[in-house]
Amino acid sequence: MQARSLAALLLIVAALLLRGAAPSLSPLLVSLALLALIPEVYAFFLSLYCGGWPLTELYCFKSYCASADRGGNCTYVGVEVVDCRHGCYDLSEKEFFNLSTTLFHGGFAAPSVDYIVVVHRRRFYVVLRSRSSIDEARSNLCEALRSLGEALSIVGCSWVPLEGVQLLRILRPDVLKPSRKSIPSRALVLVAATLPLALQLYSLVPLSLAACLAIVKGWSAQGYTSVRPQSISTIESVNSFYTFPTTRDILSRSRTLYSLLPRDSYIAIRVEPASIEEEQAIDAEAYRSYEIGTALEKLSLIHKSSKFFAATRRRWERREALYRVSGIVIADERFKRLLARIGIKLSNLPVGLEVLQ
Amino acid sequence: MSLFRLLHRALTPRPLALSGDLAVFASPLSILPPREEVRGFFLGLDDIGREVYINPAALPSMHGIIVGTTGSGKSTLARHLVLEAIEQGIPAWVIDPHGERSYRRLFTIGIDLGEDKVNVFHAPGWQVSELAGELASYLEHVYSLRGARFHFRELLRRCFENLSLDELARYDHLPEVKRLREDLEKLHGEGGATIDSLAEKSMYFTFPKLFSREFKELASLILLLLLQGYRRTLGERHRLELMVILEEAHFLAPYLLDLYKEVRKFGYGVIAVTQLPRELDPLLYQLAGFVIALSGTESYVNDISLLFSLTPDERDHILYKVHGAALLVRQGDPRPRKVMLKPRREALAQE
Repeated sequence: MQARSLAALLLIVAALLLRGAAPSLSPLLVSLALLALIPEVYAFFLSLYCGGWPLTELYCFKSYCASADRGGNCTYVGVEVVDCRHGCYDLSEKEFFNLSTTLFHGGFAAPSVDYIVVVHRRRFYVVLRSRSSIDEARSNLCEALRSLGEALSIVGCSWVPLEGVQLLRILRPDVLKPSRKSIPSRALVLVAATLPLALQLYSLVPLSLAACLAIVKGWSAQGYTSVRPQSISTIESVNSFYTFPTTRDILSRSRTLYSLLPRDSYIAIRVEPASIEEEQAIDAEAYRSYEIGTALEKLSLIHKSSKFFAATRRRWERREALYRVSGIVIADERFKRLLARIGIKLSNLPVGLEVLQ
Repeated sequence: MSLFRLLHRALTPRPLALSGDLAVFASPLSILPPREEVRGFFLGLDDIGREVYINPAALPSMHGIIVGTTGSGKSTLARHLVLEAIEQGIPAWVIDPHGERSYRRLFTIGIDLGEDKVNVFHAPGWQVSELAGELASYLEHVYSLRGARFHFRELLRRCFENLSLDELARYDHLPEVKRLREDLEKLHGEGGATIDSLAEKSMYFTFPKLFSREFKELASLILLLLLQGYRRTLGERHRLELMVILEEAHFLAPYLLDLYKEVRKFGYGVIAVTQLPRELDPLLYQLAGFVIALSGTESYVNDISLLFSLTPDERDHILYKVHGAALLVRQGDPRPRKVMLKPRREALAQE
């Protein structure tokens, strides 16, 4: 939605400039708009140039890690959830649902902190990331850790704080390897960046722009790829969001995952509590699409409305909180198919590695 | 926000999810298995493929129970535990009323109680009156002689003091006393093995085929009482130094209850093997450090279910799988562990 709005804005500005003060800026703005609409082109060039997806370098200290790039500083701390008194294997459906939601509502609620849930070798970690300055980050992260610890205690889980080196092993796991830079691939990106400009093929300027940006971004960055035979997949959507699953269904899907989770899989999911505006937008979308759908007799809109309405009902009737999630799964194909069955749609792009930045 | 961050944000899908969705794939409750031991006696694999161990040193009580119907693999499991113990340098005893050949081949020393003699009067760790009193109280149960314990106590005390069974012979006109004397004479021998020599080695105790049930109970009981006293003389021990497998343990149910209550820290563990859960006092299941319930019929599983409040999954695990399926209940574990047993090849019964 955000990218689409940005593209629309850029196109409007480009149209205004076309006959205005700086007509030569218009193609650039149109290219940027196209790039915002189809950023996968940039992702493709960036992967090609770096030999994988670039990740910033982490500097780890005794109890935390930090990274710095052009976007700003990040500070990371984390905990390992060592053991839980109960789990989906012995809890009743209601108990499981209540304890899990208690954990998310109480433990994943601090503002200005991102939560990254990492499941690696069947161990469970929560990494907290703050984008503020060091001093501010310290107080934010301490507060967030305290509430996370309390929530974990309430649901019967014990935890230990992670040291810097352990954090590094989690955020740059051994299932990812630094990629080698291939000269032919780099040359190809260089050609894609320069050839349209050299030949004055203005219709290919967006391509050239994507390649140029990839070169700038990937100039000194280290790319990462997965260790074969596993591949990186990005979480595309959570289909179960649009349904009204019973607590029994939630428990049964959890048990399926519990039983079939491979030992060598790696899952990293960034969980961000949604803003109030986003929460309201769900309700608004449900009502709006219903009204337009019934007015125009459009079945697709009525169907869309029912999907959002299910989410709305869950928010109001079961008091489920709304989150934005993004993440990656590094596992074999069989497990990825299983995830699709339990409601997590994956795509084969490495862009999800962004959650480890 | 920089251009790159905008671009990367546009690239990364950020779908919406509600807490119920996250509960499935981002909650420790759906990922983390219960904690498992990594040392001790290997048992098998749990439902997610992890190795499962019994670590007697980590349990509050070293005593255990193996329960399962005929053919479920109780004896195979017991043999497996014996092999595991011996491999770890822990001597093991098996007291087996049936005289199974599969047990015998695991041991270099086998004692046929009734033919090979044991010195019953060499009882370190016991005062004469104390041992006589203890033995007499269980004899009531063994010979079904309600109310005779004080008479037996007095007679046995004199026997232990005189180091002779002659005192019992004076009462041969009483059939109950005569029976007891005859049984004790079958077991006891002046130059027989003493408990301190027996307790240091792995060995197999069995009985000649035609001996009565009462004799088997009496002999097993005396052996265990002598062992209890001997272990007491060694003082408190917090690691397992001797493992005793007691087949058909329901014969000695009253003794086991007292043993499980009193002797927890003397460095030996008695693993009671029995067929039906109701054959033992329910208190034993609460006192045992671990219970391994093997598969069985529906009524058997119902009993196990009542004892441990099993969930439907756990119930099904031992109801519908036949060989190797077991539930491991350990003190300190919140739930029974579903295990597929992996006994050693040498533990399997051979034709």
